[in-house]
This record gives sequence, structure tokens and C-alpha cells, in this order.
Amino acid sequence: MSHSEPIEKNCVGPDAEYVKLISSDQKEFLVKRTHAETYSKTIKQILSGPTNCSEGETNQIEFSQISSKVLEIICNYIEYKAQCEIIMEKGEEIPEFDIPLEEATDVMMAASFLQC
Amino acid sequence: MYSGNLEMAVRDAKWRQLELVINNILNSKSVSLPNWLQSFESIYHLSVQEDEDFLRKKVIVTLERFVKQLSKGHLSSTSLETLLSTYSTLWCQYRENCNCMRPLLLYMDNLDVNGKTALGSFQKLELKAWQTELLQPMAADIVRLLISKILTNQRDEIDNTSIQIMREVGFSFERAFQISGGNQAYRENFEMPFLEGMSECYRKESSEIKVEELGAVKYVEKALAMIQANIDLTSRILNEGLVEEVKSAFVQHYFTDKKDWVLSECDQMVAEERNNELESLYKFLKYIPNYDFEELKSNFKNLVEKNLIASITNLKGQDVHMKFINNLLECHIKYRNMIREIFDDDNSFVTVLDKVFVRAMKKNTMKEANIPLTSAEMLARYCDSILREKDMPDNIKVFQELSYSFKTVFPYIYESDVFEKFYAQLMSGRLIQNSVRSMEPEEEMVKLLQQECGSEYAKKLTTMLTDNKLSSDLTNEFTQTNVIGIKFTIKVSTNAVWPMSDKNVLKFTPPNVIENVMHQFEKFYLRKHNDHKLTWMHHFSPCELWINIYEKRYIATMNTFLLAILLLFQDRDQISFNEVNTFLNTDENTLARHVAILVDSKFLKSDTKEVSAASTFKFNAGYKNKKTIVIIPAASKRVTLKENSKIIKTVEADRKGFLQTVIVRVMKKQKEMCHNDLIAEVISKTEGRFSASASMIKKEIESLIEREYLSRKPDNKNVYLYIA
Repeated sequence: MSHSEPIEKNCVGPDAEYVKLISSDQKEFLVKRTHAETYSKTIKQILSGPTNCSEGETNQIEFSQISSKVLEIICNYIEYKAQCEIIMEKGEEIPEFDIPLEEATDVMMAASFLQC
Repeated sequence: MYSGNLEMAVRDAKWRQLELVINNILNSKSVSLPNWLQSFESIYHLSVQEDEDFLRKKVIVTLERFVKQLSKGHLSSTSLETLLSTYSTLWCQYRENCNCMRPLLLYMDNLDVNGKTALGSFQKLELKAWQTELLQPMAADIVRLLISKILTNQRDEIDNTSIQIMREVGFSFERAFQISGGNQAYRENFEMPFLEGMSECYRKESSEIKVEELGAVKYVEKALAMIQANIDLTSRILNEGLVEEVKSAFVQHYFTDKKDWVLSECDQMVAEERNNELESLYKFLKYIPNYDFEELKSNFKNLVEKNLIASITNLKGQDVHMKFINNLLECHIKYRNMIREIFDDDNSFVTVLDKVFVRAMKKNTMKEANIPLTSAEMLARYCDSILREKDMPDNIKVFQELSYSFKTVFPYIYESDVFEKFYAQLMSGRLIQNSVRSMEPEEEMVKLLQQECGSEYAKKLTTMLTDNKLSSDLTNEFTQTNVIGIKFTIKVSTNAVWPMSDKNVLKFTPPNVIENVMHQFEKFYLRKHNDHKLTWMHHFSPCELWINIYEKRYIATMNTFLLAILLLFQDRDQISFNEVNTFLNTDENTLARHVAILVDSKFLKSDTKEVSAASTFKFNAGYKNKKTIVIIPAASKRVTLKENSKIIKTVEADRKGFLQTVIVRVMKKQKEMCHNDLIAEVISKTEGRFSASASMIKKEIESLIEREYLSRKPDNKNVYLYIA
């Protein structure tokens, strides 16, 4: 999922609103930082490491092991989880999240790595 | 084999990548984001693809190697002086770096499903490494240095950086040992050697102080200052428990061991009331555990006793009760304040004070101090004097002061029933003589007495006050609706409530003037309450007689009987005893007594020295008195004292009744009781009201057996049974 806001503004500096997730085949995905940290413990741990980016650097993580297809699904999942919260507060039903079978195993490994 | 080697190669590569990152962090070198991310991937691979122990063992080795290198490198090359600060710096840095590394270790924990419970979390590994490789070998040295640094800091100025260093050192021990070895290890390796070292130093230092040269007072001050400084310092460095233990060690050597020597000057300090020194002494002694200030308390007791007895001995005069109570209060306030200011308002000292006062108020002490009245009576008279005084402007203040005095003194009086009797007597006197300055304090006092003496007693007093108010209403109504001819007020009192008896009423024929009003009032009153019976108490009724035959007009106040006698002289100058009696128609002794009073007052002259049936009396034409208003009292001083002994007899009779009631109540509940138990129970129930002796109680038991309320058990004479 990409957003209409310009990339530079939102990923720059330690207080950026979004993080950039880069897959092994160099595709970039933007996710809201708060969501990413909430639903993936690993991403949170990574971002709290000793290498917080200073002003001017972009908040990005390169996953050399995860393909773009899988990464896309992961990002969608994160968004999905965030939406669920809002829906649950309203008291409505949660839609299901489907994962295409071909990617399932890869998604599982990535999910285990990312703890989400 | 080939695939096995490939796997191993992958594994080692991953490990090397991770190892590099870890080492960089430990050495405070920066790690780029890609590397950081890769370390996560490595961890993932190693945890999931390999067996658990591999990663764990590798991490442990890395940490240990790093710490060992630290210890060999920096620490062994520093001198002892800078050892502590170097250690502290290294520790702080290590801690910070480990914090940075935490996400990695956390991740390892999260992935490590099996080993968490058995082998401890990865996060603790860093502390364990620190403990085993660095701290343990150097522990003794560091403790020793810490101790000496604390002591120098106590002596000299407190240096903030030093404090920081010491705190970090202590903290490092706490974290390192507690996390990896538990409390036991921490205590053994740090707290115990630390405490022993400190204690030893205190012992040595305190024995080096030349106490005799310094003197007790100065030593106390010095010790107090030192312990405060000690606590201040240690609480900034050590944890609470340790601070307490260090304080105990200090107290042991500087305070407890020197206690006896310090107390040697105690007697003098107290006797001379050197308050500042006593305050410090008290604070000093308070630190010593399990000590209850025996010497101080006994000296204090002696001081209070001496001064109290001195202030109340040999008091004389009309207002002996005022002097007594006032001196008592002064003494009490002084020493209570002393306790408050010097002895930290310590309750055990207040108990000592109370005991002294209680003993002072007992009969024997009063006798020895040459005081004519009992303390109970004096308190009652004191209240009476206050409630009579006409000059005080503020009612509330009067009551508050009286209430304070009463509440302070009353608990010390051991015969509260005597007090009750006297108070009732005096109050009735005030009401009848119209000497009450204001009803408000009277009513408030009754409320106060209700709390202290019970509601039954207070009800009596309240009825008296009500009667008084009703009487003034009656007077108004009567005088407005009837023509009387003389100024008249009436007071009607309920019998059995007021402390007057209608048994010794004077029987005589009152003068016409009075008799007419008596009849009128009786008609008026009985119309209202036709079932009441009225008895006239002439001996209490003051009459005002205006004597106009002299140059100066005199206004004489006397009771009705005396008035009756004097009025006979309205139309004659001389009259004989028997003639008087024909008019008055009364008993000869009573008449003689009253005529004697008139002779004493100089209004009459008698031709015989002693007034008797053979005497004749003349009205004194030459009567002169400086005062215009003359009061002829119906009773002489001797009679007042006889009244007092009457009161005491009434009290004794009351006590017998009270004892019997208590005995019956106790036996009714218990049904069966042996002699000693019964005596003990009765004594406890009369405590405070009066002190009942075993023989008194025995007498009443006998009387109750005669009246068949109790009986003795047939086979055991010592046991009593209740007869329903």
C-alpha cells in the first residue's frame, strides 16, 4: 500500500510517521511506524536499536531474505490488524484476511522472523 | 558431509556477522542500520535452524571474553586510588552498551522457546559475565576501597562525583550478584563483608575518641551530628536495608557502648533542669535499641515529685483550695511542657508524670503536706469559686479554662464520689443563694461531668438547674397575680435530688407577715400541682430586714427564724426567753442557739453570759457597724466543718450501698464465685470511684448473706452462691 504523501517528508528523521520496508528485490513498502511497531515485535526491536537515524536519514529496513510478494502480504496484514482495532471498537464484524496458498509457507517464515 | 559442511559454513558466517555486531556495541562503536538488521536475520537463522545451545554458548563466550579483556586491560593497570572511579566508569559504559544490545537479546529470548525457564534468559547473560569475570575476583578489594572512601567522605566534605561513583559501585554489586546468583550471593559477596568492614572501622574510630576529655555533653552533640551525617551519606549510596544495618553498627559502637558513661551526669542534668542538654541526651538515648530511659525517667520522677510536694505543702488560708489547684496546675503545665519539648512527647514519660500526681493526691500525702482538706473537696471548692466570681467578662473563656483545669486534675483524684457529693452540695448552695454568675458555664460543667461521672449523676445536677429555672418562672407568675406586700422570691426544689434533707426542718411559728405569704403561695402552687407536698426550709431562706431606727439605715440579711425573733422587738425593747418561746413555739435548744447568734451579731444584748431559758434580751440601742449591709449567718464556722464531716459520712453510706449493688450484680452474672475472685472483681469495678478495701467488701458480703441475697456453699466455705 502506498500513500499519496511525499515519501521524503514522512520517513525522514527519528520521528517519522512512516517506515520504509524494502524487500529483497528492492521493492519499497510504506507502513505507518506505530502500526509496524505494534504488530511486529521484531520491527520494533530493530527500530529501537543503537542506530537510530539522525535528521536527514530515512527510516528504512532492508529485508534481504523476504521477497516483495511476501512483504506485500505482511504490510497488508499489518494494515488489516490496525483496521480490526477500529472495527472492534465500533462493535462490527471483522472481515477475514486471506493469504494465497502459494505464498503461505514463505509468509509463515517471514512472520516467524518478524514476530507478527 | 558436503551439505553438512555447507550448513556449518553458513552457520559460522551468520555467527561471525552477529559476533561482529555484538562486539562493536560492547566497544561503543557504532553499527550501521543494515548490519543491525542483518544481525536479526542471523539470530533468526541461528535460533531456528541450529540447536539452542550453539547460540547461547557463543554469546556467553563473547561476553566473557570482552569482560575479561576489560579487567586485564584497564583495571589491572590503574592504581588503587583511581580503581573505584575507573571501575565505576567501566561499569556505567558496559551497562549502557548492554542496553543498546537489549533488542538483540530480547529477540533471542523471544525465539528461544525451550531454554527460557531452564537456563535463564539471554538478558541476564551480560550481568553474569560481568559478575564471574570481573567483579568476583576483585570483590574484596572493591569493598575495602568503598568503605574507606565512605569514611573519608564522612570526615571531609561530601563530593558529588564521589557519591555518584560509590552509588554506581554499590549498584553494580546489586545487579550483578542478585540477577545471576540471587540474594544469597549478593549478601555473601557484598553486604556481609561491607558491613563487617564498616563495623570494624567504627569500632576502631570510636575507641580513639578521648571521651573523658570531651565531656558527656559535648560527646552527645558530636555523636548526634556524626550519625546524622552518616545517614545522609549512606542513604545516597546504598539501598535502604543496608543503610539501616550500617546505622545499627554505628549506633552499637558510638552510642550503646558509651551509654553508661554518658548517663553518669544524668542526675545532675535533670535536677538542675538543664533543658538543652537534656534534649540532646534524650535524642542520643533514643537511638539505642531496646532501651527505655530508666535512669532518665527515675530522675524525672524525683524532680517532679520534689517540686510538686513543695508547691502544695503547708498551704493555708481561706482560699487554700484555689492556691492548691492553681499550684497543681502550674506544676503540671511546666512538666508536661518539659516532656513535650525535651522528651519528644514520649508517652512513657507522661505515665511517670501521671503516677507522681496520683500519688500526691492521696490522703497520706496530703496529710504529710499539712493540707486540711482532701483533694476531691478542694477541686469541688475550686470549681465553686470560679463559678461564683462576678468579675470575669467572658463566659466561654471562663468555662474553657475551668474545663481544662478540671480535665487535668480530675483523673488524679482517687475518690471521685467524694468530689461528686461536694460538687452537688456547693452547686445547690450557689443556686439557692443566687450566687451563680451565669447559667452557661454551669450547664457546660454539667455536660462535662456527665462524661466523667456518668449520666445518673449528671441527671441530678440537671434537675437542680431545671428546678432553679422553674422557680424563677413560678416567682414571676405568683408575684404578678397576687398582692403580697413584701418583695418575695420562691425556690421549689425536688426532694431527693437536691442535697438537702427535709428531716431537720426548723419547727416554729413564723411571723404574720411571712405566714400570710406562705399560705398564699401554697394555695397558688397546689392549684398547679395538687399532688405535691411542700416543706418550708426556713433555715435556708434569707430575709432582708431594713432597720431604720438608728442614725444610719442598716440592711440585715438573716434566715426566717432569726427574723421571727428580731421582729418581736418591733413593739417592745425587752423580752424574756420564755416570752419569745410563747410566740415562736419551738424547741428550747434551737431557740437558744439562734438567740446566741443574734447576741453575737450585737443586735441583741443578753443579761446572762450564756443564753438560757432564764435570760432576758434587750434590743441594742447603740448598735454601730461600718458596713451598711450586714449578713447574719445561720451557722458558725464550726458548723461548716461539721457539715463537711456529714458529707463524708453520707459518702461512706453511699459506698456501702454501691458495694452491695456491685456484689449482687457480679454474683448474679457468675452465679458462683470464690472469695478472692469476688474481692478482685469488686475492686476492679470500684476503681477510680473510691478505693475499696477487702475488709469493707467482706463486711458487705456478710450483710448480703444475712439478707439472703447470697449464701455460702455448703461444702466449701470459701465459695459464694447467688440466691435468685
